Amino acid sequence: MGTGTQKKLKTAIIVLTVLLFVSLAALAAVLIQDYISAKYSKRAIVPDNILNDSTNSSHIDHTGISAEGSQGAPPTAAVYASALDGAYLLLPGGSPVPARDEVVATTLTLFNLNPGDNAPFQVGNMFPGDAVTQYYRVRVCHSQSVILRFNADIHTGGELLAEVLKCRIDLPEAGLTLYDGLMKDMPDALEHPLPAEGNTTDDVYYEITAYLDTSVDNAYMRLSLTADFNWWVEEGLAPPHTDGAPAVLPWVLMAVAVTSLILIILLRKRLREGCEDDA
Amino acid sequence: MRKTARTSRRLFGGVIAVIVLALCLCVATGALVWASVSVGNNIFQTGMVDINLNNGAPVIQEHEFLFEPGITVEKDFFIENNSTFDVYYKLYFDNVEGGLADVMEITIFNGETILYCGTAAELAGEDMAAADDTLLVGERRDLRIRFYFPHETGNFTQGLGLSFDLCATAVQTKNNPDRLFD
Repeated sequence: MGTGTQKKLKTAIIVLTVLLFVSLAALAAVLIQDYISAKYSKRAIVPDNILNDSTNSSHIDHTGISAEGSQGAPPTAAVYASALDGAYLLLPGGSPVPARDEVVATTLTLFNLNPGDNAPFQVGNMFPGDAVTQYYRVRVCHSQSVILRFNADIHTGGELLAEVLKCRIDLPEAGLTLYDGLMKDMPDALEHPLPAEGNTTDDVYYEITAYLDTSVDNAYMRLSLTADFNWWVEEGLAPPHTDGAPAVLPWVLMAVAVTSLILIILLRKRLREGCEDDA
Repeated sequence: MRKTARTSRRLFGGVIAVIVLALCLCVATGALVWASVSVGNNIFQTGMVDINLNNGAPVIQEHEFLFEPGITVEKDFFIENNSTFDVYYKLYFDNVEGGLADVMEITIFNGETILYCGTAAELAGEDMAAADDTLLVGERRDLRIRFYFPHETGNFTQGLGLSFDLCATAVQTKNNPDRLFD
């Protein structure tokens, strides 16, 4: 029985190790790809592309990239990318789509379609009655239905202003208002489902308005609030808390990799010992 | 006996290894499929309304003048806008005391323009109207206050006095076309 259990455990360890290696390798590939995209894909021109003149900006099928341009599409298309983006083809009069034929994993990017989009709020000297609006275009490449989540992570020290500063989160293209209320009362995640059948790219346009009600009194003069806006896609995971701290994810991954390596070395040693004992 | 102990140890180690590897696999897979973007450091700051009225100094001191019927006294003072936006302002009297409150005629000038005129009793209270002009950010406005003891007052005013606090209140002009002070 002991030998049988040991064999099962060995099998499980080997399978898990292989899976872990595959997962870490894929993760490394994604991180390297993102890094290279951010570093080199600032702007490029790809000449002589013929594109479909699509006006459907919220749901784009990748197969449209290779279709013929029948409605006056120009002979060239520019590939744009921000520091956070990969490379994208810009459709005339429509939405940009990824210049890749396959979506391997769900990815999120902020896409700058209009000047001024995706810029952080820098609002000073707010008075009662003021309202400031910024726009954010979040591009989600996914191959299955996902839920896009948003939240505002208020930094320490902004609690007092959060008592009166209001926020309205609209999706103008969908005609939805996700939230309208005080910053301090904003839910942990404002959800927006994105259905998909096969590889899909969705652009979700967020209109975020920060405003002060005219009833705000003198107690809230000369206050400041800093917040991070986060979008993420994954069931059950909390939003990243960036509150001025360094990103935790790379350290967690490094810890996982190192732990795995140590375990594998130990297991290998033990297996070797086991073989010697058996002999 | 020794072999059994070693086998148990191996089994235990194997189980632990399976658990740790499974956890590592979960974390790595989660990181692989987890996608997020952030726009950090969105900053919101509120403005401030702050005014300086004559550095807090009284416009007229006790015993500075001996008021008699027909006398006119003028004193200069200033109001300064230390706010972060242009403001509307209004001046009013508070804590008005003394028998001359209904007798002394008081006029406040901005240059040659009369901002307020009346007795101290009439100028008391925050219900006064706002001044016609606005104070720009950082602007200092030199004003003048005139006290006039009317000729026609009778002897009943002898020995009476007047004390008051000259006050100013301001409100931002932004989003406030109706000059509301509340």
